[in-house]
Amino acid sequence: MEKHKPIFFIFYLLSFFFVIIFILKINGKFIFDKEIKFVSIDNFFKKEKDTTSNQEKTILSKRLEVQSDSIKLPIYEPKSESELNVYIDSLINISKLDINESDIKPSPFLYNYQINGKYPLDSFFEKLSNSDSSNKLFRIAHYGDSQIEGDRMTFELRKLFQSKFLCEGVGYIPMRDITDPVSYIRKSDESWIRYTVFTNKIKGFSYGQGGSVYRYAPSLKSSLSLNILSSYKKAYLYYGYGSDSCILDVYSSKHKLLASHHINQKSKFNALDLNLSSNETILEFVFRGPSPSVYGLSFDGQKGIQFDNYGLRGQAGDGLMLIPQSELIDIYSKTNTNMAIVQFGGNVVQGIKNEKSLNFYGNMYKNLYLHFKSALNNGSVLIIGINDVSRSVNGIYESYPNISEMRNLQRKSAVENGMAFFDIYQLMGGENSVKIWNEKGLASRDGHYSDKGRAIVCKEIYKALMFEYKKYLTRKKLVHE
Amino acid sequence: MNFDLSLINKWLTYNPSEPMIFQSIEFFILFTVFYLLFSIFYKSIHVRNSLLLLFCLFFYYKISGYFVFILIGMAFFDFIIAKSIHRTRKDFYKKLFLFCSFLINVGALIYFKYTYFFINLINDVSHSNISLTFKILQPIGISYFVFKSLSYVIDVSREVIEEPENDFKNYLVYVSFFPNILAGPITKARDLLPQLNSIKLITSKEIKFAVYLISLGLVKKIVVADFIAANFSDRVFESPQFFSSIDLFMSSYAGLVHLYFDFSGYTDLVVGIAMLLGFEIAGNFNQPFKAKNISDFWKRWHISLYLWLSDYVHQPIAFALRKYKKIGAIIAIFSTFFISGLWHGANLTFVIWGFFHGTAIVIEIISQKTRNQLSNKFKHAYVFLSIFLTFNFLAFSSVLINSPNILFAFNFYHKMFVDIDFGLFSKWLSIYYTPFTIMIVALILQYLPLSWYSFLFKLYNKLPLFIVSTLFGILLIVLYQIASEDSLPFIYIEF
Repeated sequence: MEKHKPIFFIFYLLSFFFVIIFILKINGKFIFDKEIKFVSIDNFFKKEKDTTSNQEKTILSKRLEVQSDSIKLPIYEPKSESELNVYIDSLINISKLDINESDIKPSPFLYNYQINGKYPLDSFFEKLSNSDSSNKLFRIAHYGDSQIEGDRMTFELRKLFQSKFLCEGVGYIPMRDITDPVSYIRKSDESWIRYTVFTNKIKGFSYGQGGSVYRYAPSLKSSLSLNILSSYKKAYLYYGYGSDSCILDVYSSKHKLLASHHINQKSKFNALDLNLSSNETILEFVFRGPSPSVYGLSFDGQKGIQFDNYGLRGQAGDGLMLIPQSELIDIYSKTNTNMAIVQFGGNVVQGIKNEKSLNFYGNMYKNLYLHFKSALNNGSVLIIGINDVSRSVNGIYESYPNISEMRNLQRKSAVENGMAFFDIYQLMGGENSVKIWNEKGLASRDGHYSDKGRAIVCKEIYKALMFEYKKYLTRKKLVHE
Repeated sequence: MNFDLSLINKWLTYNPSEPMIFQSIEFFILFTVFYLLFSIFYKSIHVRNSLLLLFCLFFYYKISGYFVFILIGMAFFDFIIAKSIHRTRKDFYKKLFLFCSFLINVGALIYFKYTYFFINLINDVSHSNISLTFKILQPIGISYFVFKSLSYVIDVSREVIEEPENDFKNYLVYVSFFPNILAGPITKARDLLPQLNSIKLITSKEIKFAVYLISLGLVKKIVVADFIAANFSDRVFESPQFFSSIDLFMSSYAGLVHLYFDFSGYTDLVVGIAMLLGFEIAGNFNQPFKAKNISDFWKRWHISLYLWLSDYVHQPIAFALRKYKKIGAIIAIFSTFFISGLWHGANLTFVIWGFFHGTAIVIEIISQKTRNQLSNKFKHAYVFLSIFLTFNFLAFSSVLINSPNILFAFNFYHKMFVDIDFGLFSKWLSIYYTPFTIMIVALILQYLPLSWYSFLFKLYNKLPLFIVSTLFGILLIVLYQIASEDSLPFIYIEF
């Protein structure tokens, strides 16, 4: 006769778990180098969920040591999810308003500390203060990963600076990209192939200031269509070695030939003035003959400032160190690039498994920052730190456990070496803030900002920079008096 | 080792940010305690059902807080209405009572689920700026308990249920039955209420089948659905602007696979839990990706909803419009899919999704003759092509379900179809090798003959309960490892 069996089933199952949890204590043990995570005796009775592995805990314990090295901690750190919600709501509300003079206040997120009698951003501010009187255009190169690709963030910063300073055009345009840009429309011929300094690594080959060069070989013809969507005064083609028989024709939207140029310079970097009428914003570029090494195009004002976007998806940033210093110095000098904004970090958080890897990436960023600092000579470098990135643990999204340590190391490297640092992680609200940003439609869970999120971040960066600029002007005035 | 008493308080009180879920330790512990008591008192229907009611209401409280009183109130109302319908002899009063129930149930559903949808629609159409001064929160599972309760009243009025339930406790258990309160399957009163009034011996056979279903559900959810969502499809649908056309194209398939494995996994889990308690509730899926057309699909997908809509929406409309023949049938189909779309979500994307499915079925009706001819002529090729086209239709239309609004869906489709570069597929595969492999293997398993699974199940059924329990324990540990794993790094196609 069949029997009622639930009690047996419960007994078997509970006995099994009793052995696993209380006798074998499998939580934290390793099988084939894989740490077993299971309900431990402690979290069975105390906490419901503690999925942080021992390795992660080791890194967490390093947090205090690293923090003690840093210069200061930002003023506001939300302590709970509700505080975080209130804080992020306030950021959203502020971002909806136009920026007034009264909004330009000291920012706890920007570190512009004097070192050897000089503030890191002074060189930038000097150019900015002379942007009206100078007849030259000065450029800011914005390097970053997918957070900025397609002119994202750079476009927002350009727009904000445009409201106060002379700033026209869209700056640097790569010949091809995987994402659609936000500030212009581009249709590239599929024959364009991108070669990067970090994947192709051909010695003696030049990859330009962005680490990418484009060629359409073996084809003998290629094209590119653009709708600039904004006004500009000057248009340039950046290229390297060209052949005598290579010709670039530029057509208007009505297929009228606007300009024709021989692309035949032999030096590593050439900026060819395309002599286009600024009325034409819909353009077609047709290249004929053997492919030159093209770095990209640029649409700018005649003077003022310009922001160039060099977005490299999936990159930690280290690949840019493969661009020789001498080449960067030459290009920066030829394009009048006086400042670099460097924004990497999101692609390394998964790689930080222990103290060794944390230090490895810390050193890597220090070297990367110094690479740009040296190339710019007296120019300014602004480091935008890592943003919050989440991962799925037990189906619940939470921040990677090592982001604040990475941020601390980035900040330390920047500040100690005469560079400015903007703490985007703390601006977001710190640990687990990306979860709330995601819920409010400001960012995806991997930390990529939405239009709204980007606007918030860029406005805060702009306001922080403007406050430092005001301080700079006051200092300058005092010196002159 | 100290026991923290505040933990019990935490387990017993509602926390909106941490609602109870089936796959949590908290549920496992509380369910074990309840199951032990339930099993001890299984011979006393009154005690057993009282315990079950307490647990059902507690579970609903843990997921929806004080909305539990709305559930009790609505159930009480329908309980009385059904009794009144049964008692009265006049048709007019029967209809009046039925109308009252309809008004309350559908009214509550519209108020809680669709108020914002209609306000936004009015604002969009009339360019007005109507807003509410208060916030409406939606009781979790309202779409399900309203359909359950309403169907009971309709069945009593149609005399499909000859004798309404006399014990409110039992009726409330039916409405709040915890395994299916969140997301179905929608059980009918005529199926569940008789089980509440009988003693059921829970033998090794039932337990093994329940364990099999729970295991299958967890594997489907954790290994397939959650993994694909966390490592691919959710990322793309969250910020498609960062992804290439091939990512978007593949995510339409991944989105559908995720949807199926998530939902069918959940269904297996709840059917298994119900079976552990000795209750049989029908499943919701029958190898839907084997469907040869959309009407076939709806006989295999979310079957309980399909049957509900067929019984209470499609058939009455089709019957009322029968004199208009094909036109009447078409109106009945579109009306049903309009309601089905809206029921799935308060968003125009769901309405359009319903419209797509309705259109596909109408095309089937119109092209019936031609399709029959083709089927006779080509047979196997026709079957293969039908399954292939249906699957693709389902994948592409599921983009609407995953889109927050129409503009998003439009842009998604545009990028997916207009700018697609299949040359990037090999790069895509090198990045998403693991989710793709899981997706393909999971899909292949869907197409294997049922007899293979029956054979394996027979072997499994021969195992002693002790071994089954141990294997189940090992599986839970393995699944915990998979669920605890970090999601794969966010990588995007470079070129």
